[in-house]
Amino acid sequence: MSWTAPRTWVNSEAETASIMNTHIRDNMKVLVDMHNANGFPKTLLKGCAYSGTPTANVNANAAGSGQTELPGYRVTIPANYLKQPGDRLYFQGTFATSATNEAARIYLAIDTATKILTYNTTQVSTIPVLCGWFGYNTQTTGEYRAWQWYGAANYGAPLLAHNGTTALGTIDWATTQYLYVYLMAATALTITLTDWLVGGRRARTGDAAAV
Amino acid sequence: MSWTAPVTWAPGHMVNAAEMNAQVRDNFTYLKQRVDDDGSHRHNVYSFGLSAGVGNTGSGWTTCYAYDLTIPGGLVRDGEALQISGVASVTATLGDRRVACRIDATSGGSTLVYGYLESETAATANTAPFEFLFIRRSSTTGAAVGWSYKVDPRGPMEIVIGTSGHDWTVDQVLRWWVYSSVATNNVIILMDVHVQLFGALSAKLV
Repeated sequence: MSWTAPRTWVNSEAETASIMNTHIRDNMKVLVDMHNANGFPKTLLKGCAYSGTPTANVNANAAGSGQTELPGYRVTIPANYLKQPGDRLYFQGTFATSATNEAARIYLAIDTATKILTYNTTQVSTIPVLCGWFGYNTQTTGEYRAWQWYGAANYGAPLLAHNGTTALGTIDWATTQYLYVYLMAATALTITLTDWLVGGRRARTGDAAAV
Repeated sequence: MSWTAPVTWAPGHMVNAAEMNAQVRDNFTYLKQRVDDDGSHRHNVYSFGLSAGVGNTGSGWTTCYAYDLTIPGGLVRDGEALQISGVASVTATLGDRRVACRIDATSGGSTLVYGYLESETAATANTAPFEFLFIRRSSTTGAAVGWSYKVDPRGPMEIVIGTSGHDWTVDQVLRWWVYSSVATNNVIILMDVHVQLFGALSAKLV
């Protein structure tokens, strides 16, 4: 269901059911879909929480050297969701590494071809936390920033693991995009994506020229 | 004010005042609750701005009751979260200082969704921005992570993952504490706090 520009009502006109349904019912539905039952606006495109069971190809890596994409965490980014300089797509996630002492990697991608290594660790039994954003520069360019911590669950002493930054060269923000998460480790279930929150921080006005 | 599902209007139907009030006036009023007159949204569940803040009383944990906030039952769904950001100040006093909050403060006990922050061992006065994230995993479980920036932007941070024992479907009290290892009052002060709902268009367990 999409938004219809509200019409200008005319004196003495007989309103049809079609007009009422388009301009009252459907536009109301568009607006209320962005609010929860308490009236709060929804700020995330997608929120995923951990079910508690690590499963390869669902929320954890499969065995081998391939990058395992997790379809359940995939986020659809509507066309023009980011549409002016400074608009950002934020993500915050928590992961878990197993007691297996081997490399575990997290990749993110807006398109399936360009996978950005966002985390690479051999730390065992930790909770990596990943925060960052994809930003709009122009319709076909963008940038990526991320930072990660890791530490033991329940009051460990986490450390900063990595600051990542890279330019995006193949993006087209004016078309529908998807945010993909990939995991990779030699042994299955070495790394699990648990919770994943993705949403926009978009401004009423954005300006590249000023900065 | 509650939402009324928009009706499908039928040809030939004569719209009356009651319908216009329920379908147009009241629903617009409902949608306007969190929207300013210029159309911008108000995302925060609550914001506390500093007057004097709440500091520690002696050593150990001091409860900051003035910051108590009721989180309505059902406000957060599976896969959604509460994001809490704030600032604490510490004086140039040698000692461990911490800020913590939990979301089931009315039930107490040891099964907490609990965040910890800030171990200031150098005698340097500073302010420490912090952030907690409380994620609902099911009606009775959640995850929490928290971090601060202090002088060193690398942390410290604490991570708490797992069951909480509380119930997201009923009203919960979100409550803060400050901690000091020394007996001097107000060596740590909880200052501004902002609580935002991370509601999602699509939310689920994976």
